[in-house]
Formats: sequence, C-alpha cells, structure tokens
Amino acid sequence: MLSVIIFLPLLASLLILAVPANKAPVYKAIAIAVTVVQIALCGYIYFTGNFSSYQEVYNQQSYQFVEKADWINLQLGQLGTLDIDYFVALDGLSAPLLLLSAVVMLIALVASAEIKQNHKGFYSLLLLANMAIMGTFCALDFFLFYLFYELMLLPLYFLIGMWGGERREYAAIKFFLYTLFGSVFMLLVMVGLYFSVTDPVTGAHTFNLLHMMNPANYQQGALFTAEAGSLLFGYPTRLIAFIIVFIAFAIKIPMVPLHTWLPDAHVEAPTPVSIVLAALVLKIGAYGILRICFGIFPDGAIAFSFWIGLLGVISIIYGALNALASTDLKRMVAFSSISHMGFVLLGFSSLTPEGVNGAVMQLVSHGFLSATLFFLVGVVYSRVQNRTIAHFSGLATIMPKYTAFVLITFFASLGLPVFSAFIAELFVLIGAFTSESVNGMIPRWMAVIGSVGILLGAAYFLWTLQRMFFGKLHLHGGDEWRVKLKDVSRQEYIVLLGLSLITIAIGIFPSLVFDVSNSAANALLQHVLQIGKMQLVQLFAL
Amino acid sequence: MENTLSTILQQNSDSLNYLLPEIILVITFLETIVADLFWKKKEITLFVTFFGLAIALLANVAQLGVTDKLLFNGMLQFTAVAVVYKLLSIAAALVALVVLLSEKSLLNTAKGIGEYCTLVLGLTIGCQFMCLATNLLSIYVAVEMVSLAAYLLVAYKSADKKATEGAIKYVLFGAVASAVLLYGISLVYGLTGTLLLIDSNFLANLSKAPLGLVAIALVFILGGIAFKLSVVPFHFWTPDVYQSSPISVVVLVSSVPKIAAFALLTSFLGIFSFQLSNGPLIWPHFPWQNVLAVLAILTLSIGNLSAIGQHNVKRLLAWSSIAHTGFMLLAVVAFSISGHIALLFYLLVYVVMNAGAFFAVLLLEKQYKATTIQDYSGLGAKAPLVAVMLVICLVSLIGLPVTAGFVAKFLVFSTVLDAYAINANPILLAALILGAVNTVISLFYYFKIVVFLFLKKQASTLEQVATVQLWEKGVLILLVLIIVLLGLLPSTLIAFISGIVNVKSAMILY
Repeated sequence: MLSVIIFLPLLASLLILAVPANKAPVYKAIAIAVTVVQIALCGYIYFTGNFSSYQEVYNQQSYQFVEKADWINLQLGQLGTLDIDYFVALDGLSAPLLLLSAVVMLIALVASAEIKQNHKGFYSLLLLANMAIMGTFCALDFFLFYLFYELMLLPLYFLIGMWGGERREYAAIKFFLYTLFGSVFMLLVMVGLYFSVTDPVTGAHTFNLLHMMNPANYQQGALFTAEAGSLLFGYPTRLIAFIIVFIAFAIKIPMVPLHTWLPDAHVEAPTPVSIVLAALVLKIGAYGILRICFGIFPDGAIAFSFWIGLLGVISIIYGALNALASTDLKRMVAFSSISHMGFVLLGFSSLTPEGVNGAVMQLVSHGFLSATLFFLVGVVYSRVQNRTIAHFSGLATIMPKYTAFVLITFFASLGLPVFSAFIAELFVLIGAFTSESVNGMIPRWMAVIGSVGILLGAAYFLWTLQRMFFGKLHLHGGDEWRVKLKDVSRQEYIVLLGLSLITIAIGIFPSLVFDVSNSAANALLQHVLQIGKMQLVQLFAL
Repeated sequence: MENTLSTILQQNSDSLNYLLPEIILVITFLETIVADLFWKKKEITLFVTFFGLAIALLANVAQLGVTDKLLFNGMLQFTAVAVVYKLLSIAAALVALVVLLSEKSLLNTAKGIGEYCTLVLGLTIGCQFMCLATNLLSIYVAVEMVSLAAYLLVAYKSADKKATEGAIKYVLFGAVASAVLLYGISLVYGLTGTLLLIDSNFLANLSKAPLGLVAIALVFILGGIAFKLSVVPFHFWTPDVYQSSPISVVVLVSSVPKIAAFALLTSFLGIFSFQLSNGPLIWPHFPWQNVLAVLAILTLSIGNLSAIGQHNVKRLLAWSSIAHTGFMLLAVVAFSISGHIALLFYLLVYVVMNAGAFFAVLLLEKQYKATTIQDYSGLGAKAPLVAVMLVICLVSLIGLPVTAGFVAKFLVFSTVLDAYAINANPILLAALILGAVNTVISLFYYFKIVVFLFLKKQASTLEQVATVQLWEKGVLILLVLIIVLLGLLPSTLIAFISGIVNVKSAMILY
C-alpha cells in the first residue's frame, strides 16, 4: 500500500514525459488523478490504521503497514555485510503528515494555473517531488530515508529555478546549497551509525532506523555507543552527532539563524512550489528531528533541550518581527512560517506530553494553514503580478469572498480559538510552561516569550488585514487592476472552503489528529526521557 | 629453483600464456599500421582497432578468476585484481573510441586516423603492463610507454596552436616526472639491492636504510605515479591539456592511464601494508597514510576550488576530474580491503560518468559550437535530451542519490570512517570533513552549468550547425542508464568486485 502511494507519482511522471508535447490539460489531469488516488489511500490508512497500540519506538510492532524487502546486501571485506533494506511503515507521527502531503499536493496542483510555460517539465518535476516527500515520511531505513531526502532537492531546485520570479537562480541555488551542506554531514553520521549498530537477528551492520533507536544494538566500543563511548575533540561523539543531524534538519525547518534561504526560496518560487515548500518541506525538517535526532540520540535531546528551546523562541520572535516589517505579502507569509515553526521547536524541547503533542499538532495545522496562506497570496498575484502590501487597499469592497477567506485564515493563523493553530500553540505553551516543574528541561520565561510571539502574530496579521482589505479602495495599478482583480473563481472557492473547513474541524475536534499521533508521540517522549537519561549518565562517566 | 637456461625458457613460455590479452593488443597494434598503410580507409582501421580491443576485453574476461602467478622471473605479476584493472582500462579505451566516432573534427584531420588508432592501442598496451608490473624496471618502462603515447595523442591535432601548447606543457612536466621517478627507483635500488618489489629482501633492506633517504626515494616514486594521476601538486598540466585537446582524447587520457596508475599505486602500496584481523599494519618507516591523506585532501580541495572560477566547460571538467582523483585517493588512504573495493567501484563509475559528461559536452559543441558556460544559455530548451542527460551525469559527479556517483562517494566515506574508527588518526577525520565540504563546493560549480542550461533565457546568437544522430543519443542514454542503474542496484557489481579483491587480500592488503 505505502509503495503504491510513494511510487504512483513516479509512474505518472514518466507517463507525462511520454505524452506528446503541448498537452497541458492532459498533464494536469494525470497529476490530479494520481494525487486524488493518493489522498484516498492515505485517508484509508489514516482512518483504518491501528495507531493507538504503541509499544517501544524501536519495536517494529508499533508500526503499521510495514513493507520490508532486501534491497542492497553486500559482503564488504572487514566492513562486514552492507545491509540496506527497503523498509517503509507508518506510525502516528508520520501518518498525519502523509495525509497532509497528499492533500497539499492536490492544492499545489490546483494553484498551478499561473504556470505559463513548459508544462510538461513542471508537472513531471512536481510529481517527482511528491514521490520524494512521501518516501521520506514512510522510510524507516536510514539509507532509504536519506535517498528520498536528497532526491527531493533536485526537483525543487528546478521548480524554483525554472518557474520562479526574478531572483530565482539565486534563490534556487541557495536553497540547494544550504540543504546539501546540512545533509552531507548527516551522511557521515549515518555511516558512523551504520558501523555502530548491528541487527540483533542477523548480526550484520544495518541502516534500520528502529535498530538504531535501541541502545542494546550498539556494538561495544563503536563510534556512537553510549556505554564507554568515544570522544571527539573532548566531547562525546554522540552529542556531536546529535548537533550535526539537528543542524541538517534545523536548516529545513528553518531555525534562526539557519533560515536565510527560506525568504528567498519562498518568495521567488511560483505559488504551487511555495505551497509545497512551506507546507511539506519544512515539516520534513521537524519530522526528521523527532524521528532521527530524538529517536536515535535521546541523550542529545535532553542535553540540548535548553538550546533547542532558546533557538525556538528566537525563531518565534525574529520571524514575527520580520513579518511585521515585510512590505511584500508573500515575504510576510514566509516569515510567519519561521515564527510558527519556532513553536514546533519549543514544543519539542519541553519534552512534556503537552509540548510534543502540541508540536505535532502544529505541524499538521501549519501545513494546512501555510498552504492556504500561500494559495491566497497566489490568488492576488496571478491576477495582477504584484503583491506589495502598500499597493492594495480596500480590497474587501471588490473581492468580498476572497476577503472572507483571508479573514478566516489570518484569524486561524494568529491562534484564535476554534481553529487548529490555537490548540497547537496552546498545548506547546502549556508544555513549555510546565516543563520547569515537571522535568526541568526549559525555563518558564521561554513560554512567556513564546506567548509574546502570538501577540506579535496577531499584530502583523491584523495590520496587514487593515492595510490591504479595509479602508477606501485604492489600487496601485488603477482601473486596470480593478478589472483584473476578480473575486475567487469556483475552483479557488472550493479549495479555500475545503481548507478552511479542515482547519476548523481540527480546531473543534483536535482528537482527529491527537487520536492518531498521541500514543506515538508519548512513546517517543518516554523513549527520550528514559533511555536518554541513561545514556547521558554513561556519557558523563567518560 | 635452478636457473638454468632451459628452466628460464620454460618459465617464459609458460608466462606467455598469461599475456593473451596483451598479445592480442600488440597484434592489433601491428594490424592497424598495416591496414593504414595499404587500405588508407579509416573505416577499416577503426574496425580493426575496435575488433582488437573487444577481443582483448574478452580475453581479459576469460582471465577472471585465474589464480595469481609471477611472470618472467618477477618482472610482472599476474593477479586477479590486476585483471579487473586491465578490463576496466580496455573498456574505458573502447568508450573513448566510441566518442571519437562522433568527433568529426578529429576523425577528418588531414593526417588520417590510422596513427591515432595505433597510439590508442599503444597507450592501452602500456596501461596493461602498468597493471601487471612488479619490478621497478618494468614499472618504469610501462609508465614511459603510456606517457609517450599520451604525449603524441594530445598533440595529434598539431595544426592547432593551443593543442601544441598543451602538448608541450604535458611533455615538459612529464619528462620531469619520469626523471623523478627514475631517480627514486635508482635510490631504492641502491638502498635495497633489488628491483624486485616482492623480493623478501626488499622491505627488509629498506627498513635498515637511513630514514631520510628512504623518504626521499619513496616520495620520488610516488611523485612519478602522482603525475599520471594528476594529483596536486603534479596537476598543472591537466587543465591546459584537457582544454586544448579533442574531447575523445580527453576522455581517453582522463580515464585509461588513471586506472592503470591506480593499479600501480595500489600494488606498490601493497608491498608496504599487511592486513591483520584488527586492521591494517602499515610499514612504519614512512608515514604512508598521512602523506596520502594530505595529497588526497589537497587534490580534492584545490581541484574543486579551482573549478569554481572556470568558464570553459572542458576546463571546468578537467579541474573536477582532479577533484575526483582526490576522492579516489581517499579510498586508498583507508588501507583496507573495503577501501580497495570502493576504489574499484569509484573508478568504474568515474569512467562512465566522466565519459557521459564529456560526450554530452561534445554533442553540444557540435550542435551549437558551445564551448563556454555562457554559450549554454537556454540550450536546455533547444536540446532537451542531451541537456537532461548532461544534468544526470553532473548530478552523479556531485554524488547525489540516486546515481552511481552517490554510491561511490558513500563507499569512500564508509571506508575512511571505518579506518578512522580503528586508528583514530585525526587526519582521516579532517579528510572526512573536507570531503563533505567539497561535495557542497562541487554542487556549486557543476550547477553553474545547469543554471545556464535551464535557468537562463535563450541566447539568440547560437545557431544549430549540426544535428545529433540517433546512435549518438543512444550511446549517451546508455551511459546515463548505467549511472542510474548502478545507483539503484549496485549490489551485483560490488559483490563481484569484493569477491575478487577478497580472494587476493587474505594476507597482503593490495
């Protein structure tokens, strides 16, 4: 089942390449058909899977829809057997993100009306990115995960670079270089882990992520073994490895100060690609931190929780202040993403059930909301090719439906009750607030500053609303723009309505997400607290 | 063993059986001269060359799995690993000849193509002997044979002033390098009293010699080999020669001698290292690992950093090929069986992706007279197939999944990290970190080509002057297909290589 979800887009992509040129509607139809099938399958998995009976994180029983096959198996001299599996499965952390991905992909396709040239390339690349993203969420073999993770970069590079705005070359290569810089070092850690971990059954070295999470599988005296482990530059190698992998994913999230690729990439990318970047690629960073950093290096998660929390808080405030200062609507939305993803880091660092569950909820919530926000920006931009905030005023009078959706989405994003972001940010803040008394991971003032971030969020969203939509109608482009700025089309209306309903549904029934994610998040938390503490004791004994 | 004349003769005639591929190549060498003299038709000469190389390739395949043997009283040593290197070098020569078929400017020179074929065969024969040589004299003769053929090949289109300049530089540097090599050999001979590397006295006597002198001698020999590999600081000739030579010559010179030089380097280093159960034991009187690691790091970094500023695509690829040599050298630095496996796999992948990239560049040059990166503006839209194939080759050269280049880089990183885990030599850690950084740097300049191909708007000045033929597209697609397939399913090939390397490496490392 998972393989179908992952590789269906690849087939569709090849099919599109085979269809004769200049058949744009056909390409789009193929892509949409595939995505609808993906949504159906992911939805089926999401609602029928048994995600609540969770055991240890490293127990394969905890994972659903397992598909496992030998892929690369080599005898490599004294390196032993190189054992790489095709191993995909889901748990409560990845299942919501998988469903999110499928839905967002459909929205991205609907939003690609602004693509005017080389449709064939565009749709096949977008489907390729689709495959890589789905694969990343499903993979439970580090090698496979890395493959999908890296494979994602190429199509996104071309999507930004070939269909983007004026500074697209710069934005595309910056995005690529940043991410690759993080991931080549992650490759080294991955190889090191491989040498440290053995499969308990076969005794061969393995890339199996679940085996890597279990401290019992680490070889005596290996690079990343906690017990009597090794030192690098006087620090435990494990903690350095945690930092390396964390940086690789923090670039993707993105965490201040590693965020500078994001405003460029998001602003220069065409609307559908901005949607994919904000709603999915950022989530992969957060997912990687949970699955790999926290799963494999729980000791690091505890040791650096203060710093992760601090950087999360800085991201919240810095992103919000930048959003406040942005003159470009898309740039404002991009910076608001940085601010909102800061909450995810804050929630993770608290290492409390509320915080981690809230952070997972924030991932889902922000996935839908950022997709909506970029879609809304795309609506204006596709009509007048302009999105400077100061160039618009009083849009409510000519685009009432559009304004209504903007209103809903802005209020949802700034964390008003009834909407998903409220639940997510509330839980994160509760977690951050109680952390000091429960486990002493992060101090209370971080929660306080985090809530200031919500206030700032309200400020930039409401101020933008006031400047662009209310007041007297005034458009920079005059009457010409006034004609062009038609209200939302029926297609756009359906998408926006659907997205708004999803946000409200999650806001009113948070159990839609929590029921699936809760037990996996709690099990991971348990894992971090128990095994991480044990390993930290071992590391400090060095 | 009694050294009577009859036993020596007997040994020599036994040895000849092991040299079947080389004998075939020599016969082909003579045939091409005759064919060129009497028929003067380039089709016939080319056919003879192809046919001979293909037969030699098959003869090498037949030698796979044959047990090791010392030939001609220790002048040559037949090993299972050497067969792999020989196979690879002949295959690379064949690929270069296929590229030649597409390069009309070289194919139709006034000189004709007969001598060219002869030189290609001469080069290949020299490389075969480089793979087999274990006597310092036979090493020198083989290296010189390769060098002479390469000098002439580079200068083949001598009507061209730039080609002549590149060739002269190559000859001058080459002459110095071979003098240095010869001096190193004479020093080693003086210190050990034997030219035979596998002589048990060789290492024993070398261990007793003064350390400074030993270091000088070994560095000189290493320098001679490093020149063939274009390792920094013996690399100055490479960019000039690559830029000025015809592309088929570049494909040939950048792969075939490199394969042979690595064969020579590994068998030479094999004398100094032993495989124990808990890791390698390296001859302690010379810091092999550190010297090689420093060379590898320098080659890697200088190659990549210099490539950034290049505008001529061939020159850019020349610097990148230097960087790749650095990566392959890292595999050697690990001093392990898995390192040797990684090296062989990397070499094979390098041959394919290097040839693929240069072939695509040749096709673009033919079609649009595009030689600089700026000329490539908007060519992605005009020649989508060739451009996409070029991009895949470049992605593999960077080492991104799911290409063979990624697997190759992954194996190198693995072996070096494993070596580091065993002996905790900080220079290995530095090599790992710099290797990772260099991957990012290489992305930057390789993607400069991609930016111009696909992201820049079309340049109006470029007119299509020729069309790409179907077989040319087919060859390019085939090369790219190999790259992707080896990226997805490397198991069979690596298992095959490790089977051969493991058999040999029971005791001695290489």
